[in-house]
Amino acid sequence: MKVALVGQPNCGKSTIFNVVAGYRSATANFPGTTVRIAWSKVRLNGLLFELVDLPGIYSLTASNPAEKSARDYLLSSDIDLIVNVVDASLLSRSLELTLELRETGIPMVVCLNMMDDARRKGIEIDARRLRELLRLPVVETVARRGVGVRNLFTQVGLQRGHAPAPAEALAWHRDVEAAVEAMEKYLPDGVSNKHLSRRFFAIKLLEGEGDGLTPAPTAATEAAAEGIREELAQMHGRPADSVVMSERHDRSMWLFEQAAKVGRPRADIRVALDNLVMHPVGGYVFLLLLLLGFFYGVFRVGSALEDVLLGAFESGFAAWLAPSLTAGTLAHAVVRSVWEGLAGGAAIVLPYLVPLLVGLAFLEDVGYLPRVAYLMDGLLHRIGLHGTSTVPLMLGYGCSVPACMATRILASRRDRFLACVLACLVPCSARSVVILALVAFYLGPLWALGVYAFNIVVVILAGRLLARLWPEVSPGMILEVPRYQWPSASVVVKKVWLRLREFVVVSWPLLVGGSVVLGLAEYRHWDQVINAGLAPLTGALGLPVAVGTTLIFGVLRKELSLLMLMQALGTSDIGSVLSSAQILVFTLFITFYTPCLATLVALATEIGKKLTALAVAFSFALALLLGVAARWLLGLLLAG
Amino acid sequence: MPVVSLDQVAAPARVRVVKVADGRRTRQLLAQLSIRVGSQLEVQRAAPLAGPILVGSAGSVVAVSRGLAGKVIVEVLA
Repeated sequence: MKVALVGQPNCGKSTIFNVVAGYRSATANFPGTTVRIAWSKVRLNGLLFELVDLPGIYSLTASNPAEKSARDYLLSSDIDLIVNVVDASLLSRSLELTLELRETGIPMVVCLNMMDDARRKGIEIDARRLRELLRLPVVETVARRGVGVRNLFTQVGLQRGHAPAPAEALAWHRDVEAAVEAMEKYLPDGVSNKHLSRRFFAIKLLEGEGDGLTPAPTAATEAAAEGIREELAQMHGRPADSVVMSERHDRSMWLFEQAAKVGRPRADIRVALDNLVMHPVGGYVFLLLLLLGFFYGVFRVGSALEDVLLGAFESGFAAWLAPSLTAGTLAHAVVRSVWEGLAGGAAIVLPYLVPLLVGLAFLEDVGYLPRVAYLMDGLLHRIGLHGTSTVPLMLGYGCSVPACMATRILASRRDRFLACVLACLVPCSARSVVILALVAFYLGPLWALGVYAFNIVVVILAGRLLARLWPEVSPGMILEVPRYQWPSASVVVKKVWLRLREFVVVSWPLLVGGSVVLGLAEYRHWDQVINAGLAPLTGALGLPVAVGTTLIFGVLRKELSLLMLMQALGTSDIGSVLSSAQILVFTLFITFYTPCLATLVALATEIGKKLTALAVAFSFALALLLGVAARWLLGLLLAG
Repeated sequence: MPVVSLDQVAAPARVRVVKVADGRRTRQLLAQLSIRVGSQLEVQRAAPLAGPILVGSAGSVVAVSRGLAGKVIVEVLA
């Protein structure tokens, strides 16, 4: 049976999904983490479930692409049952969606999640009373700890095929009910499709939300709806959709009063924490120190490990492999390349990547990102965006692919384009590896810090430029700021692995393969042809001609550039071959030029091929401009 | 009771929404997070640099950008 997890953003749908399906749908403590539909088959209590994890929706009125995909899926797929996940600590608001979902007529189970948080806030919920009033099964869970999830699916199995029974207590005011009934009369006979009720169609038409319904309402039905809407609006002195919304609101408030008692919240240190984190001055100082500490910490851990591991790989090659190979032979070239590919992944990428991902996962799960959005909204307005874009921009420090996907929580196409382009300019973990392993390692952590700071300046200027080229009045931000949550260690580990797997399974083999290709190319002297072709570029940047091929590898994966650089230059001690200025220019160019292949695919999906081509051209031009400028400036500075 | 737009309220304060002065989309966007005519809000703080207003509504905390807040007309309760 097909079961859809439906609920408001950040109520724990994906957490429930992961409890039963294994960690497959990334979770975090901010609204809008899930932007695409996740799907899994699971066997539970002897039953086979097709479980669907939908992006969070506040109501069945979609206001951004992520919500729209959830709504469309819900209305057009053959779902056997809805599990309505409710954040129990936000019960009164969440019940509005519960009532709206109930209208669809699809069998349904209500899952009161985060019961622990509700108790902490002093909300005591009488689940039994709620069940009687809603006439739906209600199951209490604390999904984060797996509590109640098995029971939830027992109820799901039992409820199959049982559409919600009519509930007297949930009826609306008489005149509004009359309008719904009148509307139902105008619906053609075949209109209620397999699983959506006639009442649901009627209500949606009353709300003026007819688009997206299948079958689409006829012109005659729409005309009748228009008449009923106007009548209702005249009676109430406000638009019909507002009247319907008020009815749901009214009923959910009543339900809440009947089934819940609000007592005194327990004293919570988390309130005091916000006084610091969101302080008009202290908040920014905290953010700055946190980011500094974060990248410095990653660098310290990474460089210490890199030193040890790189040395181990070098001596390993000398001790085990070199004796049985003759230098200058094909075998030597191949074995050496494979070894370097392995060493690059294990000794250079992983030492930086793992701490970076752990740190980021922690920040996401603790709930800090929406606070950053709050702090940055005012500043982002100056570059033509708003605070909600903070989420994709911050995620950009991890990987550009999820960052681009996260732009689905933005409502306007123009905002999504801007946020995508800017998020791609933010150094992702792969580029951070380049910055930390090259600039911080050879020039010192302060220089690396300079690169990050410079990057932020460029992102701001690029934002201003793009916003000026594509002006639009942004609808503004409205973002829920969730409670802090102490991240669960096992979830952090699983999340890091989910993201790390991408490197281990895709990039690392690519890295070894690329290393062999480059080794062979060198062996046959083909690389000189490629390098000669790229000579104008490397020349303009003031880099050695041999660097040319590495830039091509960078399009596949950014960290490949670094590893290929070592191979192309024939040493892992880059500092002995490149000058400080060259290291900086190389890093800057790598940081800004064309996004990697995976990101290009994600970009094309999010903003279309045309805008992607535009984004690529923009970033390439920007990288070239900055690279050449940096070369001249640094030439002057470092020479003098 | 003084009636002003939400962005003019000095935090902390309790307010009641009397009008949402904008089109249907904005109204729905705000209503989804329980900012609608009649709801009581707790204005907690305002971010610097014309940043958002932080309001408590129906048990959750919501950041509303200055522009949107300007469209929410409220009366200050206490």
